[in-house]
Amino acid sequence: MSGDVLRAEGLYKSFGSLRVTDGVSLRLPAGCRHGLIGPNGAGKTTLFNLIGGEVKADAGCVFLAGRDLSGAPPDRRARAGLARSFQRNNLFAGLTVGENMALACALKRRIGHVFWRRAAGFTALRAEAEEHAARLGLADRFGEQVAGLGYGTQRQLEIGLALLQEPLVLLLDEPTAGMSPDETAAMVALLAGLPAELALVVIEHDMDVVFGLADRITVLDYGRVLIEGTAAEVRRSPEVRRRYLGAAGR
Amino acid sequence: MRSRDRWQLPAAALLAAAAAAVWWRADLFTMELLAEVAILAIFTMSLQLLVGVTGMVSLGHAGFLAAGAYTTAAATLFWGWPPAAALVLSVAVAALLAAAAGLFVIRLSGVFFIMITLAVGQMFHAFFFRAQRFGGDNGLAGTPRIDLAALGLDSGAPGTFAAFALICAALVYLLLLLVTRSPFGMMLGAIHQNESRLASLGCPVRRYKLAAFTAAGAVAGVAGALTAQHTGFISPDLAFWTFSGEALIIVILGGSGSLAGAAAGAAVFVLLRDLLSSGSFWSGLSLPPELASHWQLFMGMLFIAVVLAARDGLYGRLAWLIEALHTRRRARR
Repeated sequence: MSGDVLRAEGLYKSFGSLRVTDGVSLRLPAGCRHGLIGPNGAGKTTLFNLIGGEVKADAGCVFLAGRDLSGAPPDRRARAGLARSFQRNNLFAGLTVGENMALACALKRRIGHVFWRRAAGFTALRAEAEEHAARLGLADRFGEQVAGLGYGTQRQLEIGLALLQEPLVLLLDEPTAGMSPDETAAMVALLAGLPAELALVVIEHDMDVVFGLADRITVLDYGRVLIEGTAAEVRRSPEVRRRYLGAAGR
Repeated sequence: MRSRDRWQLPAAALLAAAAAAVWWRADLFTMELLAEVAILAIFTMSLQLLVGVTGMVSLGHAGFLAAGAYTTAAATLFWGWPPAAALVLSVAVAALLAAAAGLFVIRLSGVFFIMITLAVGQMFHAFFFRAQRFGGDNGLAGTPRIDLAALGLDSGAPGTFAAFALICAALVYLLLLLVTRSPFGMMLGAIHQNESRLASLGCPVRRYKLAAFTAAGAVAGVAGALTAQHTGFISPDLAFWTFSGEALIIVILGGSGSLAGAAAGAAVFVLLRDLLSSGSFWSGLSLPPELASHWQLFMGMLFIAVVLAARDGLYGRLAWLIEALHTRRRARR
């Protein structure tokens, strides 16, 4: 149990009479590659919101690296080592790519509160942002305003901001959604190259991406865990095939 | 707007040069106007930190200015403090009150934030209105000005006090410019853009908002202390919400996010009010001088015209002008 970097226990969440998350538990050892799949409305994004703290759970607890963060707001969870990307691009649209990255860098370095020095004076900040942009293939877009970028490029930045946090646990909500095949391939390559010790959870509708990436998979259905197991186990499960995978699971 | 950020300093320098030029030739009355512009500019720049930078639209900011003014009056008149020490105390009191109010108001956003700040500002007004020690609704006269005798200057002279106020405004500008360009200022700008994502990146957004609210309150306290010194008179009107509203209009007129714009807006506001409310201006246009008493109507029409014609405010126009001059000079070379 102590080997798990993230432990979510018995999470419940209802919106009105609709039970969106119904007793879901999730354990992630360091270095795991975990897929989260399920039909639309199964509660995948809500589960991320519960783990991330954006939505308060009705019951259940979340431990990150042994720390109880059950009632903590999103920013404390982020500082404890949790990062996430969002299903819809959720960026600082009026700022440039570089400024977006500098924000994440400054927060990671815990210098966001510094009001007595010019940000431009922190040369390491810009250097790190530039280096990171190069790694993401955004170097030539560094000075461009995010609002003017194409969807796929914004998507890259969306994931890039989460990566910049250098988290222990990374939650990616449909990272390849809306991307072209080329962009998807680049994203998959990027995900494959993530640090080995990072615990990664990916919500994804592209089954090739999920089964190519994840070594364990959780299938959600109506807010409950339908099955959790290795990719092969999930693929073999008749129930999963019937309920969800369809042709893709054959 | 962002690409014009580099005109921030030139625009401010232009304003400072204009102020200095006016000061050089000014008569006594103009000196009073200059001092008023400088003090109002301090106030509107502090509001700009909240409104334009962080995206917190406060309609109660005058409450903290009034708190500063009343603190200066109390410290100098009741306890015999020198005005300079009273100024420091005013800032501290305004900051403390802003922090205390901030604990509650920053929990809200959007129209609810506007309403709760309006309520907070009106609480200040109600308190001062009933404070008999401060003359209740009549206010209180006699606050002394800062003692500059050590420099061989008499702050009672309008020119000297105007210069003092202008220097204070310049210092406040530089301080706030540093803050807005610091990592902390980056965070405030990001809060304006996308608060929830910034939280997901690990920023304790509420604490940052509280810090911004407190800092803005403290600077408003400076404006309040200087107001008490300038007019020698304090009254509950200083806390009234219409004054907060005026400052908000000036900030919007000045251009969102720009400190220099907020200062320019303050200058335009004071000068226009002075112009439109003088009977001789209207009779000079061979119009009935009674129109002067309706100056607010014309001011309102002007504001509407400016907002419609220049959505990026005075600063946007100013930056455009500097940019045009710059490119023309380069082209001529």
